[in-house]
Amino acid sequence: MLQVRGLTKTYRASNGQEALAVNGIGFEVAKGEIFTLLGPSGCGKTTTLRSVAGLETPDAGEITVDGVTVFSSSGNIRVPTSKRGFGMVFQSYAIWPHMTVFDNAAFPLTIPAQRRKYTRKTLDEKVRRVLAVVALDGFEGRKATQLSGGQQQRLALARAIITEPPLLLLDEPLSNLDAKLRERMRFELKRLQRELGVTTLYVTHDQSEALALSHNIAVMNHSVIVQVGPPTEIYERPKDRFVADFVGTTNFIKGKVAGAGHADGMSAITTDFGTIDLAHRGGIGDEVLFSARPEHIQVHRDAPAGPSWQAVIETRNFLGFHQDVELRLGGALLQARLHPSLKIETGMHVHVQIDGTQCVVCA
Amino acid sequence: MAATAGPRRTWISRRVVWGVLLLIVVGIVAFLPVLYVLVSSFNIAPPHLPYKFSLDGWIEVYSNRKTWGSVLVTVILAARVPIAIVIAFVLCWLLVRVEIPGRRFIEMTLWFGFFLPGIPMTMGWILLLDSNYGLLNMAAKKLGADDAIFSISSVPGIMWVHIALTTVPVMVILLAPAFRQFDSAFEEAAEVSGSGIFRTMRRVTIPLLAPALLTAFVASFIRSLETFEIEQIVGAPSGIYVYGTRVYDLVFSDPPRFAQAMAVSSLFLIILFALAIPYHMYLLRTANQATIAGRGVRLQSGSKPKWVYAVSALVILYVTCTIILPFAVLILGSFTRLFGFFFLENPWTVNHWATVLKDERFFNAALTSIWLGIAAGLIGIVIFALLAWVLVRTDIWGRGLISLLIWLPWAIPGLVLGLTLLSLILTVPMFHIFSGSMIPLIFALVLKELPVGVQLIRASLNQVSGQLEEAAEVSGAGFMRIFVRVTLPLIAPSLVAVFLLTFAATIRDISTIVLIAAPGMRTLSLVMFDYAASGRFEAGAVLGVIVAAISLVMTVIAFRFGMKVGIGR
Repeated sequence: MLQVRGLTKTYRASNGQEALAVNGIGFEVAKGEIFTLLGPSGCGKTTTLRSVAGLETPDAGEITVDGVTVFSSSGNIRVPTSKRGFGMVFQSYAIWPHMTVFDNAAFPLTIPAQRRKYTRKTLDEKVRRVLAVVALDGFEGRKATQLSGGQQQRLALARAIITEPPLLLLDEPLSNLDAKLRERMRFELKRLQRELGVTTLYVTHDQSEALALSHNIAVMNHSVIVQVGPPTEIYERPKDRFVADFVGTTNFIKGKVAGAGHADGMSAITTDFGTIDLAHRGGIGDEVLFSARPEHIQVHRDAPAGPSWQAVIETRNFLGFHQDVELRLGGALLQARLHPSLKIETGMHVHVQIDGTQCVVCA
Repeated sequence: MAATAGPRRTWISRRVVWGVLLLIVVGIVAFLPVLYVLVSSFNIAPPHLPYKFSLDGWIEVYSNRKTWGSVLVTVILAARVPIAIVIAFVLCWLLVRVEIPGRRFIEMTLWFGFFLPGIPMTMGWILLLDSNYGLLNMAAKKLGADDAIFSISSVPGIMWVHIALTTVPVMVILLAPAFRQFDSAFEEAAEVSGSGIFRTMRRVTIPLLAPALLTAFVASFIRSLETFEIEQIVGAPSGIYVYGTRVYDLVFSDPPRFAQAMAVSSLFLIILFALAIPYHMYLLRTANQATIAGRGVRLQSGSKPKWVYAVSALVILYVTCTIILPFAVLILGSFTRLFGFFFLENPWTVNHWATVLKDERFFNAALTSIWLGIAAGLIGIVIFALLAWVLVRTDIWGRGLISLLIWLPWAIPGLVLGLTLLSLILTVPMFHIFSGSMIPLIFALVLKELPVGVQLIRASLNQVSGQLEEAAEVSGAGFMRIFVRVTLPLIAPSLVAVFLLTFAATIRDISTIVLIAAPGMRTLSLVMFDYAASGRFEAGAVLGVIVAAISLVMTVIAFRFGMKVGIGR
């Protein structure tokens, strides 16, 4: 539905130096899905979104929506933002402070191309219906400045979807909300998107938001896309160290391939605390770095069945629904996530198991 | 960055084309008077005869000791700028940060002082400080002083009138918004770190406000080189000349010495450029440093220390003495039989008021002033807003140069600007049609207000997030719709303020329009000037009070609309 190919954009800073914001990236978004651009600040995700919106002019590349090319450097095409007909929610919401809630939401319908489709009455109905969808009914006459952050965010969403656009662009829409509200809005957004069936391009630096909301995620770093895939794949099979580190929390453990050639593609890796079997094909003696997520490290008070190692608990954070511990295993300091019912204390000697099938070699 | 963009016209070429076009228009309008000054400084032929090149003007004027005397006095008088910036900084800090009691009254009085026309207020100061009959001098004599202790017809006298009436109020008006935008968390962080008031000011406040302070300093300094009216009334009679009055003297001598006048003006234009270019480079260098994001809200503590009330009393005393007192004396003066003589037998009369109000010229002049003010104000804000928008929101080619050119009209004395336009109307065939109409007056007044107008609107546009406009663009709105529905309403308060500034400038202006106003077209200020020039000070005072009263009304309205631009709070 949305295709982006070879997108490149350079910025010229005031000191005359050029900085590459986006370096030849490409991706494809299927109809009706939420596609997320995830990455740290300055990775080029917002530039990409703004290029799709038409607010930035890329140096090179091609952007196609529903078979219509809205930008092409080789074809010399650049459809102006106002003619692209997308919906967009800005990070700051960009709610106009001099208008009422109603006027803010109705604005896109007052553009001549849209206005023709409505009578005064149907327009009124339409605005009320959209405001009801985002639970702002009854607020029509309010000044936009009298809304809370969450309400402004919903109003921005109402304004973005009122023309039933083919493509919805969301630029960190939840980052200005407090933690509780942010979590609730995740569900709201997902429900709304499913009901409307609108194709959505979502930009965020928050990995848990990306995992929760998206059908597909493109992880970006240093102006390029590092990995594309559904949330589970991104989380469970990170392609490199950056993705493993940025998405979720993880432990990086150094090791050496000791025995390869198991029929099932597993190799024995020796670390400074012991040997683990994990999926890897490589020559014996290769240095490797693998990622072990905290939830895949099991901790026992008494020696369990099967191989385990002795470790010492260094710190413990009790978080209610789970507890996080740092434990010293050989020379390594590892993070583990444990069930809250497990009775442990700082300084305690424990037995640790690492599930090799869940570990991923990153480098 | 080649080969991007639109089908037929590419964005790159568009920004160059628009940039060049705008540069040409602004360049011509702003640069023409400058060019005229330079070119005609080498012309020794009278205005209606063909151009005759000669260096005589330059040689004669700069071999005259009077010229160097006026340059010296101008430079000495410019010392009021550093004095005033210290006063204004302390005032702003007290008003915005300490929030001393009575701050609304204080700030409003300063705005009032800014709006007040120069000549009548100077007349008020003459009534107070004249060495023969000035009220304060008479009071001092009563208290035992042997001789007059104040003299308005002296360099310190002129400097005092300027500091009181123009320099400090203008600087407070320029600095206060910067103080308000400035997040007080920066200062609070210093306080929490254990820094006292003065260390915080020296290490945090002043460095962060440096760009705003520098702008206020340079703007006032340039402005101080250009002033004319106060010096003409107070200084000229006792032989104290500054740049502006020297030019006036040369133009109105018999025969007029245009070449010499222009040669003097040229020197000051050179000084202006010498100041403006490094200033501009400094601004460009610091432009992308620390954006002072502004909540600037300081939670008000319940009780204030006692010294705040003492300071507040001092500041109120200051604004009362510098602004309200001369105005009050002026009102009294307008009711005296003989201007300035309060202690005659039976000194009071309403005759002058009756004469002025019955004079047909008064009614016509009031109408002319109002129409001119509205026209200049409306045309002004449209032009200023478009220019400001282009400078803030687009990346057209040559923006830096345009924003430099915009300052040019500040440097040209109103009189020289008027003279330039008059010559253009008389010599360029096409421009004959403007002769006798309001158009050249409106043009001159708008041009004169261009620097401040663009600057104020620019500042308020900078505070409006660009995403608000982008949201309208994504919604499908075109340029005009975005500008009218989103941009203009958001900057409305500053538009109102700029309109009022332009209106007030029109009402009180004399020097710019005195030469180009057709004989039948007199504004209130011009009629006042006519009265004063013909020695009818009492009637002049009456008109002065009326013009000042209009200014007072404007101040109040400006306050009503101006909350967001940082006028009062």
